[in-house]
Amino acid sequence: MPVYDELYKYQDKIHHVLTRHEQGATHSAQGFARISGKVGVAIATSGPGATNLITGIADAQIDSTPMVCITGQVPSHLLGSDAFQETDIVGISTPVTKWNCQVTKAADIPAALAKAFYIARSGRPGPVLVDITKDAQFDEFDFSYEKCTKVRSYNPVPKTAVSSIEAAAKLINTAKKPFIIWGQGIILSEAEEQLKALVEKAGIPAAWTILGASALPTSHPLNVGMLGMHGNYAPNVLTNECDILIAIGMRFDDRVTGKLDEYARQAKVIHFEIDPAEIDKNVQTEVAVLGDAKASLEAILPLINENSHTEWHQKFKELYAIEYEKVIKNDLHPTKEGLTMGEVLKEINIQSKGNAAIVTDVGQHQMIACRYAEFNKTKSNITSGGLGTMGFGLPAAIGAKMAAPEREVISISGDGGYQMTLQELGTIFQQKAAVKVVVLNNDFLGMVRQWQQLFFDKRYASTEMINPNFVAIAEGYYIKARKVTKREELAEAVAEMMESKEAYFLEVCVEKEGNVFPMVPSGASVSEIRLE
Amino acid sequence: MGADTIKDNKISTKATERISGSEAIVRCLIEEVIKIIYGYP
Repeated sequence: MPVYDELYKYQDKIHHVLTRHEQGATHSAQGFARISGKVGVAIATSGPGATNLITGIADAQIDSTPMVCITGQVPSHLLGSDAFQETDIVGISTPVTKWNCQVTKAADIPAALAKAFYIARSGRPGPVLVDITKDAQFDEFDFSYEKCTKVRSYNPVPKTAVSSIEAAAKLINTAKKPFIIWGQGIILSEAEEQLKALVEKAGIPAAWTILGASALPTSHPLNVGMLGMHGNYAPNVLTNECDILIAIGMRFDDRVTGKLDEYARQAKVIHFEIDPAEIDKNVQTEVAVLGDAKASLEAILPLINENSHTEWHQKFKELYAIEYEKVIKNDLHPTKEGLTMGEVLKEINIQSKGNAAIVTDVGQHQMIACRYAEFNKTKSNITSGGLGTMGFGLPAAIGAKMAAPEREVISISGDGGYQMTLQELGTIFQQKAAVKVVVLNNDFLGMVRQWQQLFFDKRYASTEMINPNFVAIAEGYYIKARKVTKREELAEAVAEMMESKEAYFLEVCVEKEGNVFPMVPSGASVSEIRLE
Repeated sequence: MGADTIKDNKISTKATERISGSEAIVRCLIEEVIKIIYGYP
């Protein structure tokens, strides 16, 4: 309460966005951070307010998102007494924060917050939580603020060894079948131009993790697509044929590697990485290049020989052709009756011209969106990658739109995840945030249903959804809304959505039992990826 | 990083002003050029 009283006083300097749930506040702060590269801030009261932040904090931790969360706490003399709305949020949040602390004296607040912002944004970014007791909020002290630039024993950007750069360049220059796989580290260090320069100079095919999407334009001829469980066929199969695997700013997540024992065993691995803890964590490296991705790539570029690797690149094209015939054609140009998720993405691509920021939730629609969305600009794919948080999309889109009001921000959700945070339509309405909200409705928890179909003999246990009238709900929040059930309505409906200057809700009823392929079955090798 | 003390290094010093901890929280956010925050009272 006292903090909100001060926010009232300073409302000309700080705009407080009242979300409809604290989880929505964290996801909005994440969306803000992911599209802007700045620290997102979320604030909540003690007890349940604080614990409601935890999912968003955990999401930010695993996806390296800079965020500062501030929580209220009971007066310090009541700590440990089970006071009203008391909870040990420092203890609870410790495993999912980059740093946290509790402040019990007003005079300690500036130093704690300065340190919080420094740690959140420096090195590999992450979420920080500062818990402030009520007496510390009321007490007066002599205020001054000094930005933090260093913390003892914390080395956010390790020094890059010249020998590692030279060793990596030597391997790249002698490679016959080199393959670059990049992750969000490229975006976080703003190394997009350096990545492009390396890819083009060395002529190396390059693929991305889900969080690395949009760092290189989709249309770039050496961008060979997405890695991982529902990624593209060629980059998954050829991971197990390359001779040099160059990983940049990615962490070899299990969704990317599949069965580790059979992951790129033939390749020598170079790992450009800012976090020493990631080196050799999952995949043994030949050369580790520690440091900031941008600086490391700038250092190695002059040592790289020009090359084209035409024959090697041809193999990617051949496998893409197979994937196109078996999967992509049917997703984007279906001849069957039901609408596919892919054709909705195709229509959004056409009408956004690849310039929209796509914010997805978690599930089938997420994989389809990441596979088919076309990106011309970096920081355009905002999704919950590591934690896989259903409910992330809608509030994250609010944060993204508020951070970048000049950009078209399209939230794409499934009917399951959408209902986890749809109360944030109230935030959209109150803030007049012109978010375009698309729900791909198949009346199922689609990804779970897909697994039940493929691995549990179609026993659809608790995955069918009896859904509400989504259009009526959106209209209840005074948001213009439309429902599409037929292919011939789709283009005109997407056009109406894109032309709207205000928030817009579009429900597209897609085929109920559509599946996402390709797919690396759980526990299988990436080269065992299935096309059907 | 884990739970820790709040010792740190600093780069600038400004004149002091007597305010409440609550106001200090908001003033710190302004010092960090934060213009939008998300929350629930």
